[in-house]
Amino acid sequence: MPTSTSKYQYVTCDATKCVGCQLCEYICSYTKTGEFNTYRSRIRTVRAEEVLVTAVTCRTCEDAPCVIACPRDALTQDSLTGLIRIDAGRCDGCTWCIEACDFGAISINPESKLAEICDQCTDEEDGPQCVKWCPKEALELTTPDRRAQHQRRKLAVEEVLGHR
Amino acid sequence: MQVQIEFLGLARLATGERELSFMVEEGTTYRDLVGLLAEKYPQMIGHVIRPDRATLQEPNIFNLNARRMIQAKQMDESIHADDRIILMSMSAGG
Amino acid sequence: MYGYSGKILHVDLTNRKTWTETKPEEWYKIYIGGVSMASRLCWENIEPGCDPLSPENPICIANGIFAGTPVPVGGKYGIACKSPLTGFIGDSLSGSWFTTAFKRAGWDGFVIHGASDEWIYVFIDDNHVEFRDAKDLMGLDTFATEEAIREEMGDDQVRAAVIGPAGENKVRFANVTNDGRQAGRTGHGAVWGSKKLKALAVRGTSGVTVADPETLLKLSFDIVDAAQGPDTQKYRILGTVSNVLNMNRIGLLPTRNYQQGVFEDAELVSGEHLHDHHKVKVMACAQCPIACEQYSRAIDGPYAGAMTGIEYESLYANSSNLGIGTMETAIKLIDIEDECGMDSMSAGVTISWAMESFEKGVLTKEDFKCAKYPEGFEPAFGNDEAAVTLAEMIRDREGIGDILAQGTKRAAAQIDEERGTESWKWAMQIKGLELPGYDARALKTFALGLAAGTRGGCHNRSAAYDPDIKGETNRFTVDETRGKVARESEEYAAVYDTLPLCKFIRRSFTGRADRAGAWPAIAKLINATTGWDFEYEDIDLIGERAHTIKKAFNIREGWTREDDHLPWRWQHEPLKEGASAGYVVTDEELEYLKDIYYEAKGWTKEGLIPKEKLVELGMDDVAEEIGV
Repeated sequence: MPTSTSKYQYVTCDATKCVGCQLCEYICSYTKTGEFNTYRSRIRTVRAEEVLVTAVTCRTCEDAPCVIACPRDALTQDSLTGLIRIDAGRCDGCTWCIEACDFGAISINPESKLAEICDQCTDEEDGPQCVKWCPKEALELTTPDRRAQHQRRKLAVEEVLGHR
Repeated sequence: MQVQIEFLGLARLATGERELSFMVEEGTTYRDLVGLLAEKYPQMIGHVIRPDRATLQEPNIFNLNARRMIQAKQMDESIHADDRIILMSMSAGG
Repeated sequence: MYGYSGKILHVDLTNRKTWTETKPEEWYKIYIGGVSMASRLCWENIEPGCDPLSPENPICIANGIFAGTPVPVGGKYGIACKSPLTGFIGDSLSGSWFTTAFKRAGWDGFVIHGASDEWIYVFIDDNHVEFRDAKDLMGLDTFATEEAIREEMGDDQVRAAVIGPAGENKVRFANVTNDGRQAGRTGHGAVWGSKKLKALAVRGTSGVTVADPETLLKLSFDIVDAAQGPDTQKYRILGTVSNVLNMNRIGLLPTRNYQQGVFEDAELVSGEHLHDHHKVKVMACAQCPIACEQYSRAIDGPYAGAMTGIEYESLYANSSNLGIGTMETAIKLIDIEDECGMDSMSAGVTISWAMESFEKGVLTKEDFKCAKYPEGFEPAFGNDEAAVTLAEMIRDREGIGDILAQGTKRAAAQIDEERGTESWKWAMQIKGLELPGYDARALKTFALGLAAGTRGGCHNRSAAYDPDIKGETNRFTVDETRGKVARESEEYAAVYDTLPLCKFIRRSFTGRADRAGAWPAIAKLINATTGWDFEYEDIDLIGERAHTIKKAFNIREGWTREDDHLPWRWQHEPLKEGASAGYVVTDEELEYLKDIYYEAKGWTKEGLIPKEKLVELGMDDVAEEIGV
């Protein structure tokens, strides 16, 4: 399974903090479309069990499989940021990219039938709106390295110092 | 003079304490008591006790002898010897 | 129109037909949403005088004005019908993803008429309605039913309001559940059961637009931020369960069917104990930045593994009120009630009636025969296994569970008639709805609020325990201010129940929860959503109108002044121990309180509503029918 590299940032969710409020979905769909509609959000919550809820969006994989899978070369990946760009002119909604994505992070616009994906709100001054709005600070724009560092620190504090 | 203070709710969670005896001077008011508690348990500041260290953060409230809640406008009343004061987090409904 | 689609969907289960009703903007400005709109729809569509379990009792659901937007805690809906427990208006609220899906489907409300001859569920797919066979869902508990529907539809975004086995069996206090939240009280589940309606599923794929999104977002963002602060801390960290020790200290924690107000094991079933030992995760409803649902798990003992959200009202009813001091058992009981879909408060207070009836010899061991205990058993207070078995027997209508499933008022009436006993004296209900977790013998403004409440013994609609407990009013006495206090308290609550907005946000607008602190912020939110021009007075009117339409409904269903009553125990048996010992509410006090309350409401001495008042409130047709 392809994974993110150490250099690309992506928005991740801490499932222990996420409470399932879905505000991220409302704010994402509004930012991108002017409407509040979870079907148009590029970040999606998923409630798997009564108490397990988290949010998923594009992981900016190295050699992104969605890019490789697209038969019409409608998807390209920015080599500096890892962000996926979709050429609406080329996309025909075939959904091969959805098949290829292990995270379910790419979606199809139900009206236009074209692929849509998180672009980390690069045209917003304060960056990803979902991160800005999340009331529990469960969402973070981060890299795999930073995530790992954070987990190690958390482990040390909890296990060694005994704090929670 | 001695008074009994019991912590419930958020105060108990913040301090880990349930009950304590407190020695206070004659004429100590409830407002003074907030300050004394803030000094002894600074972790309550911003949560149970307001940053002014003179008032309680709503919904925390003092209850006197289980009979009377001490309202904001009564905080300048004096405490008496052997009073039993409960610091509780009042909640509505649920 | 912004904030609304202007459309109400009518579904006729008898004839399998649907139609759309459009309403003018003026109608929305008066009824707004939530319990007010749901009660108004019930007023319009019910056959007055009908049996609540008959096809003539409509299920009326009204969305929220802020549902499907980022307005914090706006993801709630109201539901109303004639209550099978009280025979008066049964209005409830629930929240979370069902609400937002139904908003996106383009409907402001649903009215479900008639009854199906076979078990079905209704699936509303945007503007397309299907009647689907529910045979594969029968017997499934609430969570499993929702999951099965999503599985069948192959779409996580399909949300459903469902009934569990308790509703299927028409337990009179069965509830309607969606997304782990409940429209808990007054017996909606029984009404759905009588219609053979197992679930109402919705998928909504359209976007929601508002009049002024930039303003709405700015307002919402600030509230979301404030909602992380100290004003909501008690909900986020402890939850409402902190009230167990609070009530115990002031001597008003319902214990052993309200026989005592102090429970010796209160610490073991307290919110603090739950927090320290049982908490698994805190969850939120859709659109909620607070997150107050304290999911907790039973850890050891025979009930280990039971897990559900625990709130104060569920907790007292299933612990101290049953003389049970084991948190594991309380969690197990609430879990059974949540899974099978019945009101955890009414269930607990009904079980405590059965326990007291047993201890007083009105019921005997043999009355409790069941498959698990063919010789019967002895449900004394504090008997964990008995309580759990009784909850199951009620769910299944097995043995005496069949009688208990009618609620305390009817169960006591039936037993007393058969046996010449007086168990009605300890049936802790008002108008048929079982009491909440506050003993009002020494909360006298609240006693008034409960007695006069349109829903019955309900703390949420009255909310007058707040001024009593906080000491703003003297809870041990009555005086001439109480009518006004009770009125203002219930109309304040009604505003939140109508928009709806969860009341837990009330301090996060300005730091002050009173009208001056909250109404201006609410007006701004409404105006940014709809483009209207609401001001402070308009918000006041929302609450008054909501309460009035419910009162009018009750009057039309035969309410009289005598129906505003208190339980016998609260009038004749003072508590013996604790800080609130020695008080009752006398007949004289009660009648006086009712007098000043009706006066404060602008009603007649009989508690009826003058025509002019109804016309003033924009309810001309109601004035014609029941105005005096």
